[in-house]
Amino acid sequence: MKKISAWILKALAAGLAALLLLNIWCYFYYNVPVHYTNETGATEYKWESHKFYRKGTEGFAFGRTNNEGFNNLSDYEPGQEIEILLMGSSHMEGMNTAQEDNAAAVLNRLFEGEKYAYNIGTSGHTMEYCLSNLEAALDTYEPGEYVVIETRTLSFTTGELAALVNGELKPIESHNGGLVELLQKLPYLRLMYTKYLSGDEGGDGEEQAQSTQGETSQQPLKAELLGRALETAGQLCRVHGVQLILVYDPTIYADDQGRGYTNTLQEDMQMVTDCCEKSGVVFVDLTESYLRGYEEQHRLPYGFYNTSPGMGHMNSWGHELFAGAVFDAIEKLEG
Amino acid sequence: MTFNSLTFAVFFAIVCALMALTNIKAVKEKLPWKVSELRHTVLLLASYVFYGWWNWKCCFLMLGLTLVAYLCAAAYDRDGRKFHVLIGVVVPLIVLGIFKYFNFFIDSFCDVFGISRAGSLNILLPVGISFYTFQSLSYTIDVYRGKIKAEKSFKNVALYIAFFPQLVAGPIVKAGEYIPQLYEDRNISLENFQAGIQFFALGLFKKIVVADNISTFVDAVYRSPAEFHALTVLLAVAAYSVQIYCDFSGYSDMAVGCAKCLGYDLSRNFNLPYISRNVTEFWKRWHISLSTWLMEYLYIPLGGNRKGKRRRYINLMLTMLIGGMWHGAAWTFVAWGGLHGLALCLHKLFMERPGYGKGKDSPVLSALSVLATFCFVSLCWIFFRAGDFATAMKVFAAIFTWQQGVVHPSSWALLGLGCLAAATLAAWIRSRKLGIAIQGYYPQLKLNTVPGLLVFFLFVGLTLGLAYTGENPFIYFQF
Repeated sequence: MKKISAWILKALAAGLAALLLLNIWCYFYYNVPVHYTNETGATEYKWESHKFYRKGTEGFAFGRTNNEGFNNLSDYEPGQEIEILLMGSSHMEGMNTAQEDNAAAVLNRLFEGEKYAYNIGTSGHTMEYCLSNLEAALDTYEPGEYVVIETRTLSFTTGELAALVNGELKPIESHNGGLVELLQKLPYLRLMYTKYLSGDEGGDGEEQAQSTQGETSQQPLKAELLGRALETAGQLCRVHGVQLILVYDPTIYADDQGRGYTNTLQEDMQMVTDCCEKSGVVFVDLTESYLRGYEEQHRLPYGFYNTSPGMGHMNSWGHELFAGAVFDAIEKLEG
Repeated sequence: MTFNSLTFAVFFAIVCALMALTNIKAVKEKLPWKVSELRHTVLLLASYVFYGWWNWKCCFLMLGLTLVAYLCAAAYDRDGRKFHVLIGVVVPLIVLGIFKYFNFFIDSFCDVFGISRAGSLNILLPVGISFYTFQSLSYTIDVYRGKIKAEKSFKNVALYIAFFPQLVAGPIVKAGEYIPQLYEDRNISLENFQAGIQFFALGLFKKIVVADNISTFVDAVYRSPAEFHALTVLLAVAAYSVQIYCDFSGYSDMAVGCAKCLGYDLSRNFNLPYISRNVTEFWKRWHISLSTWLMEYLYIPLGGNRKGKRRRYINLMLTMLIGGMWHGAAWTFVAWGGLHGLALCLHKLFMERPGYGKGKDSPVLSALSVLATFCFVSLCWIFFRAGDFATAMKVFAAIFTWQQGVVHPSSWALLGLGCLAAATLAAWIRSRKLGIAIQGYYPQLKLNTVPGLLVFFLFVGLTLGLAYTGENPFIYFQF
């Protein structure tokens, strides 16, 4: 019995020391900040401010959130002039690429100080959430000219659209209190949770295009709901004196002959184009730009060298094309 | 229930706890029968639960094959009639043929004669059928050859065939190696557990960190070879060599580890196969349990090398073609086996030339031989990995036409190759130190000390942290 007790003590000591060392390793390998409910409502939540982050499970980038907990190179000062407000999901957020390579940073370089783009893209914020948060975002940041919303899919579900239109979209919860918050501050435990319990390692909307294909019979209802949602958003933007731009960044696949294609359904594309046109929203489709990049330069806008090629989150090439397309669209709007 | 699942962890913990209970003196004394009987019963029941977890109906198939092997061996032992052995060999082969190859042959026949596919059976391929069929054959043949005596205890034969650590993906254990262990006082002990859990952890690392992470890259390239640059395709081909090795040898290590924890010894299935200097050596280091099985139960009965040169080459080709088919009912596996058979024949021919072996101690020549063998084996894996010939040809075309496309230097593929090189280097250093031939080994930590435990916990922690957590079954489960 003594022998076993001694062994248990040794195992406990070794276990604690191992946990400490694993957390140190994880600090530099997978270190995601805790998220807190965003009181302004501009997003569902925001990350810890001025926090070092690293997502080594996908990509090799690291960075630091700004004072607001968003992924920008510089802090936000209340009242600061913002010409372009970027909203969207984790693709827009761009934590998987170097901070100076994400779309906001590239846009700022392209405008050479003429316009300032501020990124409040946050993981899990599909187009529905962005539209739901739009009013609060406009009130909080008062962008001067444009609001850009990124969407990875055009195959929206009637359920989500109905919830958006009826103001019943389920909030994305933040578990930032007590022991749960403390546990989240241990990067190794966070990694274990992400890998084995939450199952959310993939990119937002990755498979959505396929999963909603069965809903094509509800196309008229979807068109009506989307039309109403975009109409409201467009109206809101006009009141605030800004132009809403919706950017579609699809996944690029290759067929067995190596030809690039997307899973976009023609009826979805038509529906979104029509709805945007009717509600005065500028629609930017990155399909052609992405396909051209693949065909001519053999580069894919998604994926990293430590993940499946072409899958997952937007890489620096994707961000570059994204920013370029937004820049071109704005140039075109301004003649 | 796979070794890398939480379900298995719970299952194994329960089995270990039950086995540990039988070590308690008070429990032993109160038992109305021999403690080994109880242990074997627990293990047998656990093995059937393990197998039934996939599909409980398949348990009846395994039970049926066990009955055939047991009864045929017992009947042969009683009256010495070869007919019983014939039944004991033919019945498992017919079962394997129906479940694994019937549809393949029907479909191939229909394709050749251009008739619409008809008569295919809508049946499920029971997981691990190739493995336990071979074990039941091994039992019957070993009794026939007089290597072992026919077992009186049905339980022992059933446990030999169903022993869960090696049930679904090997190593293929020969009856003569395992059954004698059932007559020894073997059970879980602290020493066995400490050694076994380390084998298991090493296997888990190979599987869920190296093999599974590489698979995301390899799968993407094989899904659409035309999309990628020749160098990327080449890297995927090399990476698949690492993936299949880590996947299969990882499973084998876990199997050896589980068995060790329970007090049983299973033989090693791999011994640094990619340091082989020729194909003959490769087959002495790769899937050792299958290659020795094929040699003992197929190549030698066919005549081996005892009936002249020509027969030797025919026997070699036949053995490798059947070995290829054993892996799966597809022509790509036949091509893979055929290529290896051809290479073995060529190597044997080469060995007969005067002057063969000169300069074999030269490090440069050795390194070149290792590299050439690795390249040959890796190129053969293309047939193994590709679902069909069309895909295999696209992979070859991409490489040999220097195809332009997406460049993706997968970090996991590079890391996997690096791990392989590091493990080989460690084995080489060890062999130099001990003055022995280079061979794989399991590094062992002292798990009764704090530093040993710390390193072990760190290793397990890193394994879990770096693991690929998507769906990725063991490659050899399909065989």
